[in-house]
Amino acid sequence: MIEPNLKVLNKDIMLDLIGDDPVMIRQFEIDFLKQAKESLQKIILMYNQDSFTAVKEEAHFLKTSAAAVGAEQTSHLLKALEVSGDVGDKQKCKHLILEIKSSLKQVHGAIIDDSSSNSSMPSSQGDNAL
Amino acid sequence: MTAHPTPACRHPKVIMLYDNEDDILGAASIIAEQVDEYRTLLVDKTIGSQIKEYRPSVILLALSSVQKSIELYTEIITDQSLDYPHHSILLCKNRESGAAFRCCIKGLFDNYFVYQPLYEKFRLKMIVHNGLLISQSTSQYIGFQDEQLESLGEDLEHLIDEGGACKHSLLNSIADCKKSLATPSTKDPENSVSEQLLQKINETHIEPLLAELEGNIKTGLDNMINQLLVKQVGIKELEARVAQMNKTAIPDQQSILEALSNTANTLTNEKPAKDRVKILVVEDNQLYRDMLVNILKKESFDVDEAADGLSALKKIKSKQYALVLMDLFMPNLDGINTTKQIKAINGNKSLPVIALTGNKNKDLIKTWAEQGLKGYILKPSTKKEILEAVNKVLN
Repeated sequence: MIEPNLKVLNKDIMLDLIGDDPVMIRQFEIDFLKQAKESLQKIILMYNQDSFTAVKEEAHFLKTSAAAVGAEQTSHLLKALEVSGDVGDKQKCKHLILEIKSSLKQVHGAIIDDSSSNSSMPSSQGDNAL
Repeated sequence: MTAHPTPACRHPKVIMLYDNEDDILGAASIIAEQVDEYRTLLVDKTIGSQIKEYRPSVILLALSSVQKSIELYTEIITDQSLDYPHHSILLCKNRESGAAFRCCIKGLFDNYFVYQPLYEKFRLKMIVHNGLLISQSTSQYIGFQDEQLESLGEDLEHLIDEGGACKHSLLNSIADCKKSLATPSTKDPENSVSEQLLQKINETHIEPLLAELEGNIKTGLDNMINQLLVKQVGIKELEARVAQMNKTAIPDQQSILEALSNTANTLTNEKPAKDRVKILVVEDNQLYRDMLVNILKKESFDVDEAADGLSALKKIKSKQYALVLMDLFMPNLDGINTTKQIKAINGNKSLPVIALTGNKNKDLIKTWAEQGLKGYILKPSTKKEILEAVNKVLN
């Protein structure tokens, strides 16, 4: 599902977008993790309610910031979820949501180094909630 | 880049209180660069006793909401964990800056700083620097009345007032203690000894401290004024160039011309606010919106923002913008319908709109273009592409 040339976190994207400002880049990365956590929880909730249009809209929303921070794999998966949500393909949506969760964990790992890693990805609403 | 939010200093002069580690990573690493005697503390049941133990001069409150910070600060003052002169700084999210401003005007906190998003790292350093310089003195400023402040809801306004009263009560009790020490009763037979002792302490300890403090404040003010001058008119650069030229041999005509040309550029780069081009950024994704705002502000544009079409229309009715950057899919009112409404508001007068969109929406962009789009930016784009699109329309 994930294209091999896409990076977990392409740092060049934000360098091109906001310039060489490490503090600000760090802040946007952290903001993205928080936004992604909330957004993924919404997506899981909407999936469980069979609200596929809402899944599509939320995927579109998160895709914007994923692309902006350089989370290329996540952005690609969210784009696929938009399509699956649009046609109401429940099985495919489930598969993609799990993949998005996994890709966000990788982004989280790339952003927060080991010494300060407190996983902020949703564990209570993870695979079992789908 | 690494950020360790809890450097373990044993006697910190500056502490930051937090309840979510992710929130403070950026701000914490900035202060850690600046102050060695610094520590971050996760708020738990022992926070009062930790503050009592460390007695920091500067306290930064970085809880997840302004309300939580007020509640914690009021609590540690009330239970006397914090019972000495100090400098308090509230860190808040951008959307709560109105509440933070109110807290400071009401005297609850000494200063505030927007750390989410974190745009001005030097301002944070300046605030902490000043806090360290003046944390032994107090001053009051009464310049704003309640009706001049933004309305926040009765509960929060009440909480701020209560917290402010609590802080004033602490300051008054400290002032009373000082007063009673300074004016002992003359009827006491031991007074002459006490007076002599106080005089000695005054001469050997208090006066030198006050002189040092005064010196520090003067230096701090000089630095602040210098920085303002550098930022606003480039005088420092001019001075540096003059000093350099004085040190070297008599300059030739060309180097004089170069120096003057550079200085003139510096002087003309900073446009006064009234002359800046006003741009409205309409995007529901706050993270991407913040990025765009940041890019445009760095280019000296006067930038305003809205999260959906309806809020954008309200702003357009009340202000004159030179350009609007607008997302397509937004809650309440989408980009196409907002553009239609803008034309209606302006009586078909042209307010250029640039679309922010993904590349798969070509048909919708065509429909949108019929409403008078002046350009489009494919999300996320680069800074260069964004500025090219903006400047092309403005020129």
